[in-house]
Amino acid sequence: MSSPLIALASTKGGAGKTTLAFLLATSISRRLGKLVACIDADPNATLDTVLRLYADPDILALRADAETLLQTIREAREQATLVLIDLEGSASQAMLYAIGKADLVLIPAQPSAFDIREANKTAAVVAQAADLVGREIPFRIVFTRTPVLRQRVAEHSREQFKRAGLPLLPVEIMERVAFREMTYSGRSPQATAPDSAAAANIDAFTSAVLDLVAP
Amino acid sequence: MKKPTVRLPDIEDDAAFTARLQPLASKILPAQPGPQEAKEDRLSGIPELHQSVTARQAVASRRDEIEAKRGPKKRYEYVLPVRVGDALADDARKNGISATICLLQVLRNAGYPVIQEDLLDLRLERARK
Repeated sequence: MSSPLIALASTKGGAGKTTLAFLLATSISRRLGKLVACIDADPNATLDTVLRLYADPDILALRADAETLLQTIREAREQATLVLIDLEGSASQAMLYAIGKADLVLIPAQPSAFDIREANKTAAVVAQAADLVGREIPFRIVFTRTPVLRQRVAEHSREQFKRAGLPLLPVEIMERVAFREMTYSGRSPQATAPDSAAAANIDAFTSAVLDLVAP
Repeated sequence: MKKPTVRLPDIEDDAAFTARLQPLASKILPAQPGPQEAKEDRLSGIPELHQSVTARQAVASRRDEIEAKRGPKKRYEYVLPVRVGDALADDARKNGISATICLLQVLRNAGYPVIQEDLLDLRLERARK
C-alpha cells in the first residue's frame, strides 16, 4: 500500500494552504519520527522556500508542476511515510491531478464570504474529480486564521458550511503570531515553543488529520 | 479515535488518469491561447464554405466525390431525447447550419473521426442551385 497523500487545495489564494502544509509536515514528521514528503506545486514555491530555511532531515522538500507532478508523487510515495501537496490558489491542471490522486483533500478557508465561496467551488471540483476517477476522495474544510475571541462573522461562516452540507474539520487553525513568526525561522511553534497555545493547536489539528489518513 | 477511512484503488496508468480528468479540466481551467485559437478555427472553418460563391460552386461540383468520401450514412437521431434534439436545432439555427452539421461539429470537437466532407451541407447547395 502506498503512502497516503494529502492535497491542500483551494481556488483562492491566501486561504492558508501553505501554512497548513508546513504545519502538517513539521508536526507529522515530528510525531511519527518518519520521513514526510512535501511537494510544492505552486509556482511561487513559498512552501519550498520556508522548508529550506531550516532543512529538517525528516522532511523531503520537492517541487513539481503539472507536467512532473504524477511522477513526483510516485517518487515521494516510495520514499516517504506521508505525502503532502501544496498548490497554487487557483484552478490548475496540477490541482486536478493532486485532487485525483489524493487520499484526503484539505480545503482551507478563512471566515469570510470570499473564502466560503471559493471553498464551495473547490469542494465541487473534488466531487467531480471523484466521479471521473471512479473512487471516493474525502475532503474537509479547514477554518484558518479564526479569531481567538468569539466573533459573529466566524460563527456565521461555520453556519454557511453546515448549511451547504460541507464537512468541516473539527479543529480550526487560530490566528496566532507564532504562525507568522515561523515563516521567518522555518521552525514550527512545536519546536520553538512546545508549551504554547499555538503548539497545542497544531497538535490537535494533526490528530484530526491523522484520524482521517493514518499512514 | 475514529477509524481511518479505507482508501480505494487508484488509477495507476498516467494516461488513463489524465484522460479521465480531461472533461473537468476543459470545464474549469482557463482556456490556453494556442489550443483555443485552433479550436475556434475548427469550429468556424467549415460553415464558411457555404458563404463564398466560389466555395459553394466548388462544393456543388464535387458532390459525387464528397458523397463517395462520406460513405453510407446511418442515422442516430431516433435515440436522441427530444430535449437534446431541440437544443441542437436551436444552436444550429443560431449558427445558420443544419442540426446534423451541428451534431457532427460537436462530435469532431470531441475527437470522433468526422471528416471535412461530412460537414458540407449538400442539401443547402442543391437548394441554392
